[in-house]
Amino acid sequence: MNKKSTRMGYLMLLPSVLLILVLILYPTVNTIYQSFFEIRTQTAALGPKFVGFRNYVKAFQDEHFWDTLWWTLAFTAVSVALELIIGMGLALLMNRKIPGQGLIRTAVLIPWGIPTVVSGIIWTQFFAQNGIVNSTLAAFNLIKEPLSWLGNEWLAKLSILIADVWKNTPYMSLLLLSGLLTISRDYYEAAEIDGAGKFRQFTHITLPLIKATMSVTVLFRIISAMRVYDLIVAMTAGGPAGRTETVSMYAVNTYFTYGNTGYGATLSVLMLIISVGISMFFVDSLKTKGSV
Amino acid sequence: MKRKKKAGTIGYVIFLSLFLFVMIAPMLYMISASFMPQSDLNMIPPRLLPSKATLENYARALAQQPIIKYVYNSFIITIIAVVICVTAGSMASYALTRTNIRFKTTFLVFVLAISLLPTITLINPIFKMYSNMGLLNTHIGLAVIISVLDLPMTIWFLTAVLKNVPISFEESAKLDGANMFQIFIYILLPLLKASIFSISILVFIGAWNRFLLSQVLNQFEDCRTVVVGLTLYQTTHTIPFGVVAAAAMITILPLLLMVLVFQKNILGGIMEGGVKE
Amino acid sequence: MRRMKRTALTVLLLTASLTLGACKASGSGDGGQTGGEPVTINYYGRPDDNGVETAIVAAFEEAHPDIKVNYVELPDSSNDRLKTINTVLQAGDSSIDVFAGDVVWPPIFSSAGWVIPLDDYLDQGEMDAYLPGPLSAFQLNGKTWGLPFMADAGALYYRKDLLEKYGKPVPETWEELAATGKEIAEAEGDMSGFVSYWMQNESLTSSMLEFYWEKGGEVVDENGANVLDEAKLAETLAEMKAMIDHKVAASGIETFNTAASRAVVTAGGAVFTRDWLSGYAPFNAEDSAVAGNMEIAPLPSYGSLGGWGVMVSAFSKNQEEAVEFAKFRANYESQMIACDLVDIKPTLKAAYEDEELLSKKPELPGYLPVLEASKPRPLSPYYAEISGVMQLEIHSVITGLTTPEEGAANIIQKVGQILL
Repeated sequence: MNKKSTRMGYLMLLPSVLLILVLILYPTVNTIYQSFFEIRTQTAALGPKFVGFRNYVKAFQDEHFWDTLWWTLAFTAVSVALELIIGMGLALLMNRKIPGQGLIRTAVLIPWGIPTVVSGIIWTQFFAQNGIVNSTLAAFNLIKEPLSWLGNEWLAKLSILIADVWKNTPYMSLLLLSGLLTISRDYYEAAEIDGAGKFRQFTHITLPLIKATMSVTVLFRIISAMRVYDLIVAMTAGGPAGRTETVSMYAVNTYFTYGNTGYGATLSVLMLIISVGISMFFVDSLKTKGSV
Repeated sequence: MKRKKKAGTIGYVIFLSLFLFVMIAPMLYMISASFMPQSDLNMIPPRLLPSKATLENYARALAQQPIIKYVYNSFIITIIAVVICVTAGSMASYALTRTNIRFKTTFLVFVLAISLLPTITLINPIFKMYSNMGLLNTHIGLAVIISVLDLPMTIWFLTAVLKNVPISFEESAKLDGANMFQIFIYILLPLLKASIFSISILVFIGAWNRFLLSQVLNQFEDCRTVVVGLTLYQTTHTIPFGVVAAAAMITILPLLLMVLVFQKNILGGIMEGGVKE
Repeated sequence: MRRMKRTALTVLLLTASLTLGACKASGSGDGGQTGGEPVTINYYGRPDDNGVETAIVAAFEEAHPDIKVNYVELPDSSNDRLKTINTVLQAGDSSIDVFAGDVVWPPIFSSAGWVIPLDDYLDQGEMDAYLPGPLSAFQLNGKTWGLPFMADAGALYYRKDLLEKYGKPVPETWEELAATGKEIAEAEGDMSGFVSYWMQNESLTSSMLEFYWEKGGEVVDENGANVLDEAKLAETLAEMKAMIDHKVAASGIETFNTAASRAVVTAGGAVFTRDWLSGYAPFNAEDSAVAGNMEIAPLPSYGSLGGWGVMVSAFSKNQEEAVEFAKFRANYESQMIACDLVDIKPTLKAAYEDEELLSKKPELPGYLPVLEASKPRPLSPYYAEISGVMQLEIHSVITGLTTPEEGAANIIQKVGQILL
């Protein structure tokens, strides 16, 4: 019985393993391989040239890479933190039996459903110099001169954060909600009998029980925040003066626009290494049993 | 005491409505813009409501691009992607939590690490592979690669959820003589309905919005997806936002309806029952 | 239990049937087709604005019953197009036969060996029919790598009514432009002297080059070697920054994209604007507050040359047919079809003398002096990267993060590394 179950286990793992091996493993290895070569569109006729670690040395000396990296990491940390807090609030709200729940749940999902191609345009219109945010603030006499939302470094960063939090909080709240839904009501009933307040119930029952779900949610949100691309392209295209350019934007430009495949691959591999480092913090959370 | 509670409720309702308003404000603006004549959109300061509502944007959105066909393509590609992703993902997470296979952590870390490479690096190799296999410009080809991109998240998430589900149900079923496949289908899947629904929605929307791969792999109109189609209304120097907004509305409505209908059936049902031990 | 089984089965069948019903890939030309079978070529064109590309393809197919054209629409944004075209050509894939490309692409594509020279297929008369400016962007190393079908260039637009009111001539230097603009704007109140789009993107580099060229500066010489002049660059950047500091330029110009800048113009908020040729129509459209008063003139010294042309892939298995289509896409008939449907500027000299066309588009001759005063952006295969560096440094200066001198020094240093 036990042997049979183990064999069945491997069998059930097979589809995922096959899909990943066939479609992802080769590109990954290929990218790592390319990062050791000089491969440029401009000299495609001459073929790739082995350069060892020269691309990596270049990256370490590339100020622009460091600028984009720090901004990417800061953006990730702040946006994911905000999304987690707001997302948790929304998830708790959506887990209650209140009138209009269906509408709330749908409304919360709307930002996620609008394609970034479109929401990028909308947010640009909002934050433009002659845009809706400025005209609204002016109408309430809050500002005299229009604010340069997309032209001032810090305001541009703030605008991007607002747009990103708006867009990605639904992801958080939906996954957290599904975690909440697996918690048995019995726990809360018992706690109430013991006279535990709402806050105590949250910290002592809810949090420990959704810790695993929450870790996974946060982890994958971090991964995708680190790759943020189209929203920023639509809003500032990296401006002012490249201060909102992320590593993925830099890598995409290097790869496609500048035709520098080798260096683009190097930037991608560096991103991979950093992401693996961050992920290591989360692996443990899956190993611990989430039982109370 | 009672009055205080009532005031609290009113405050709560106001706060909630304000919050929800902020959430949907961009959507409201989009709806409004989709009815504006282009001259309204060029105004300084910008208009919030159309000077006169027009359906012209919708007519142009439908005339300029076969947007309905794009929606159809997106639906098929996305549904295949969700089915592949959720099927493979739930099987894998079952194996990881309910059988004593080896290398569980290794597998999880491997799956994760491999998903960390930026998508741009996939494009060239996948394009070459698909070109050789004749998978360019097919629904299934795009669906498979898209599903794989979301597979790690699905596996990790369902694994985390399954760990929280008590094992007692399965044990009683095992005593009744059910085999593992039956336990998986008849016991666990219904229990995981809410989680699978959530992850399906996320995979669905993520797949629906995939841009770069869809643009490069499905270049021909026959199998173009709707997100790629939306970029074709714009030219370098002009964004006819009214038309884009109208086109976006056409594509979003079916999504919203779907969520509205499904969430009641699935999340609602679970909420009342809850998981009882 | 049984119901669940049936549901699972249905889902499975549904998936299977959807899979089988997948859309077919149109045959990407199996080389050497013989007999009566028409050859199919794939054309990666511009957006099908008002059906223009479809109409041209239909006209071509009618004239060439033995060639079928599969028109593939790509987004208009240069960078988005580049992602697809780059991927296909980098893979050496034959699915692109002929494609529409930006004027800044020929140096990259020809040095990569991705496009073929068209000289063997063209006679001198055919080449001479094109305006020299737009054609020159496709000519490198003595060969012709593509044919232009749409001309564009940076132009100066001015408020005719206001210049008349204040008795000012159309400015011939940037300095004069700034002074006139400031004077009129201050007298009128509630408007700016100048507006354009100076957000961090390709148009910003073009704009900067237009100032820099006036000072006699160049980026690369005929051999592609770096000839940047630091003093002239610093002067250029200082001049742009001064336009913002002295409130000649509209507030927020450093965040404007095309639409934002044009909205200022059509609301009557600017005396001068620097825009591409596609600005004329919206400025003088019915819903513009300045309709009939926005006139066009060449920029001081030069304007950046823009526009689109057709190129033929070196990996095409049907090069003869692809060249045939490329020539058709850029010929007189096609350009007339396009002129009829959308607002484009022809690249053939004869179009600007066509009585019938002129009666419909009387503004056409006004574009000629602008096109004659245009100049290609640096013809270097590394131009995209140079422009990337320049965009960042120019934007640093105009948003006040660095001084013009620092900006110039940074450009010199970074471009020097690229062109090493």
